[in-house]
Amino acid sequence: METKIRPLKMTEKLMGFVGKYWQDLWENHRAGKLVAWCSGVSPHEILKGFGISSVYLEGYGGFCSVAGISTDLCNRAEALGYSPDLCSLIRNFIGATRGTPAPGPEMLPFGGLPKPDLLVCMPYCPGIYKIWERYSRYLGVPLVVIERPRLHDALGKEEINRIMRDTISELQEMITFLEAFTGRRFDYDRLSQSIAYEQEASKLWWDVVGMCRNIPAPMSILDAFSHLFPFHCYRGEPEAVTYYRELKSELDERVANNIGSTIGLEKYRLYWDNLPIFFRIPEHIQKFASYGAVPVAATFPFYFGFPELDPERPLESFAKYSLFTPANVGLQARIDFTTKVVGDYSIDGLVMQRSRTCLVVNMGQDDILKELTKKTGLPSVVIEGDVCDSRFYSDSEVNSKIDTFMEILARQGQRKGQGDDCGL
Amino acid sequence: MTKEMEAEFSQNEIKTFAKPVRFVKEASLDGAEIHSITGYLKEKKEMDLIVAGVDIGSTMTKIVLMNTNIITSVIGPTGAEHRQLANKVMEQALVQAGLSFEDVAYVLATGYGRINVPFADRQVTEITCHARGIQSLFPTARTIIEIGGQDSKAIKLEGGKVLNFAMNDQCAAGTGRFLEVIADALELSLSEMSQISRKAKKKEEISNICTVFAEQEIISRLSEGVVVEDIVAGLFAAISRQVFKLAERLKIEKDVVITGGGAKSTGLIKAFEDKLGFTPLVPEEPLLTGAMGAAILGREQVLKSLEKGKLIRRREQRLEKVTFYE
Amino acid sequence: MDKLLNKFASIAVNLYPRLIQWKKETGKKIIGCFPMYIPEEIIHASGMLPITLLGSDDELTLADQYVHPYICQLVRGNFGLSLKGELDFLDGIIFSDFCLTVQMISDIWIYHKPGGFYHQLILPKNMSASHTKRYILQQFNGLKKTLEKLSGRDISESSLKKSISIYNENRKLLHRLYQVRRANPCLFRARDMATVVAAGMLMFKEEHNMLLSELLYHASKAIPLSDGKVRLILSGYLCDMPELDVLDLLEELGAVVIDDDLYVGRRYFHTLTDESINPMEALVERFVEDVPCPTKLNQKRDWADYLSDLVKEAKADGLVSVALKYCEAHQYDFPVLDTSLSQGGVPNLMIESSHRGATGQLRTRIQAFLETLGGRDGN
Repeated sequence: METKIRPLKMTEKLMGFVGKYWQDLWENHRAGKLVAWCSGVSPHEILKGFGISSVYLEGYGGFCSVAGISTDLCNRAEALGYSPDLCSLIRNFIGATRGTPAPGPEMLPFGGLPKPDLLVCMPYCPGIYKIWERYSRYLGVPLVVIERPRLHDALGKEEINRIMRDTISELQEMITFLEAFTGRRFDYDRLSQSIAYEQEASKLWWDVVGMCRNIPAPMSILDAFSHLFPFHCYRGEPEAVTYYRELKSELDERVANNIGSTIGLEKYRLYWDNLPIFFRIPEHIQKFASYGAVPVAATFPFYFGFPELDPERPLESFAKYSLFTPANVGLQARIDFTTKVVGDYSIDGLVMQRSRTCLVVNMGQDDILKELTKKTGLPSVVIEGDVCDSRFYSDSEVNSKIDTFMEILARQGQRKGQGDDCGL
Repeated sequence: MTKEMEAEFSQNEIKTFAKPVRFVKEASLDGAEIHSITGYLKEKKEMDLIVAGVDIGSTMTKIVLMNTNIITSVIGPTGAEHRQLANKVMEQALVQAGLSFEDVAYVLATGYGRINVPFADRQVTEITCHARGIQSLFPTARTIIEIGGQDSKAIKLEGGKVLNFAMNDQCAAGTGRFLEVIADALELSLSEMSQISRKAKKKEEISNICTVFAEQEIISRLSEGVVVEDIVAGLFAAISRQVFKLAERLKIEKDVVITGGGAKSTGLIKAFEDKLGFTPLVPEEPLLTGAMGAAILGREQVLKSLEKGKLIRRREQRLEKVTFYE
Repeated sequence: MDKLLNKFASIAVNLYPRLIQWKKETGKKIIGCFPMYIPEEIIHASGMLPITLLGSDDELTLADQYVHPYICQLVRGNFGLSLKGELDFLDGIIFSDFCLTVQMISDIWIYHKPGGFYHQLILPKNMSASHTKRYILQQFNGLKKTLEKLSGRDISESSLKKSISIYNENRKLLHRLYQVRRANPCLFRARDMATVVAAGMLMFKEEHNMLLSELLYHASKAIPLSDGKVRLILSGYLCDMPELDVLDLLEELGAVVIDDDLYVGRRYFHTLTDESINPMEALVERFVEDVPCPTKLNQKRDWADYLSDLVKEAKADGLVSVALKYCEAHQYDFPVLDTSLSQGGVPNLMIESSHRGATGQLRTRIQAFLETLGGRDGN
């Protein structure tokens, strides 16, 4: 297939940034510094206040998926008796860390995960709390758990305030525990500094994602999924700020010169729902590009980063970050947020990915689609996939669905992208 | 794998032949006729005791008739549509051995269709039967992998007994059925697939476990220009990976025996060998180990009861059609 | 006794029409509790009838139009009933966030059936944090307040104490019934036990207590039956009704269930509420101290240890654990449970069930397991 993609220069730098992080992590571990495995939205910034290196495990699952080894790792978890219905990110992680037969460091990205001294869990999904308790016992290291109650649509202000207070007090307890665990006094200034970096990176990240509102969009939102990796690695670190500043300046330049992510006109602008299918990102960009279509918007990038973080009130603003992200709210709030995103990005069609093993995003997706269709009248396609496990994905099926969908879009006439018959 | 197996309709040599003894009829308690086999064994030798093991699989029915040795064995179709041919296979076995149904002292049924077998005295799962059959053939076996038509199983043995087992879930991945679907899609026979896979330069990654998806995946690979041998080699690797996972749950220990219809595919055995890192043992006739185990178990039970002086009572068994419970 | 058992069964099987009739006759309010961990005693003390929503095997297609099929049967079944309007007779529904699926479904449910009375209990997962009990107490107090509003009646300490005592009475009777079963396991079929417990989830406990006493009277007079069967502990179906077909299958294959770790079983009634302390605090204690559950962490006891003890105490031959398909919590713990039990010398079989009844494969697995235990068909 003829290449129609205009690659970003930052994509070349991406692996350098990410590779450096892992190299440092392994060096820290070898030098006897503490390493923590973190799941979900765990407060990495507090760990920084103790000089503890942190790994974001779900992000590591994403790497494995991009590297094409997730399915193999999932198989190794299943050989221990874990059901293939379980979250593929978690199976990926189990396969990588204690799968049978044990994967050698040469097959794992960045040589695998250094053995942790501590586990921290503030999960996306309550189903995985228990796994952490098991891991804590298995590895013989302590576990810090922070509850993350869902902010249901019907919760009153009083109840939400109560949850906020409880979360803050849990974060404080974590600090007290870590002081005893490390024998060090907590460095509040370091926390504030870390939150400040995180805030700066968040602002830049949200700006970057927001630039896709431009017609043509300077990058595909599927590309943005890959550019999330530095965010996962350098939580609350200056490197993330540097990275997103550079990415933003490249996109600024494209926007100023009206350069899109594809060579040729950006005819159709698409919304992508749910998680990326990490092991097929370039293929999907290419497939859409062959029709002059670009996925430009998604809600998933907004699960990461929180511009309202406040170095003056680090714990409080972090608690807000962890609780108020679109991944932790009720159905009505998700519908409202998705409708807003679709409205903001001049969308022509909706691509709804159903990630087979991700309950937290799948449940309610049908209602979100129904509301979007009602409010916008946009055509849509549902494709079956999974974030990591390629066994739940079929190229031929997805490609033929995309083909059909693009035919529908072409027949609609009206579109918001570039070209003769658009309303510009 | 029906076509091939039907062609191979086994004509095993009759190894021993013993003159059977008729049953002694006894009055029954509830009016039904009951046979006792106690009577004749008082006078006759142990080797006159003829027992049948009947393994009714989803596609093939396997029967072993034995006394102290295997008298005869037959493999025939269960009957794909109405699954009513199992009794015909039994009749064939009897003809082959020159026996009548009454000559058989005890019938033990196993396999997917073991439940409503009017000519069986007792039913035992294929797990216990395969284990017993394999154990008699390979006393050193610790792990058994059985690749059947509808499902695959892994069995762990300890001291000759089943310690633990695992079965694949309600999905055809890693089963004979999966192999068959793909063979059809490639328009190859199973033995052709094995031959072709030897020529493979690399194993094409087949990631889908869903039979339907995998079939699609393979067709699209072919259209992309991937050569058939690499696809077949990849396919064997995919199946062995799926089944290996089951066995790994029980911790694989040497010796490993692979049996069931899938073990007839040398390509698949090779894939297992790659995965295991050593050579697994394969019975000469892997389709028969279940029926053989059933016959041995049946015989052991009869002998044990006789030793204890217990009367084995048989209800009037009829050589009639098998009805499936599903 | 059969007549009595049939009565329990008819209450448990004929889920809702009886309750609609009952409501018409008595004019009382009925509150649906989405399993599990709802402190029913508070509802009882408000004069309303708490019933447990045990799902349905029939109403799945309707639910499938709104939620994808890879979620558990209990949630899909209950949601399907709701969409069909079969739960409209309820005066309120209480959800608790003990697992992801229930957490997610409550918002979806309210979105589809707006205007009803709902309460979402947010229960913590960590049982040993310094805030755990305070957190739960706050939640239970919040529930109490909304129930007072709904019933128009203050829930006094003494009425709550009275309800607790009635619930404890119920639990004690069930404990006695389970003792009888252990001593004479062939007296009851497993399905009988499930429907006896399920009936209690659908009626006032006072009434259930009377029926239970009557059953106990007959049961204690029954002649011990000899069995020679494989004695099993059945664990699983952690928040839903066990499949009666599967229970029958176990028996058909030569096993007898001598005790259980089922939600509609021991898990529901095992733990008593302390009557000597403040009633609200006692309810909190009960939640924290309850039977080990894969949705809770840092409990004092490990689930595998608890089950091992149960097997030893009841002198069982082995344990069968059934996870509801797509029950994340149970499946995440399956491999650990399997390993721990096996290491502790407890023969066990882990199976997954999708409420498709007693399929051929399930039969083979169970039968093969019983054969390894040297049961009727073993050697």
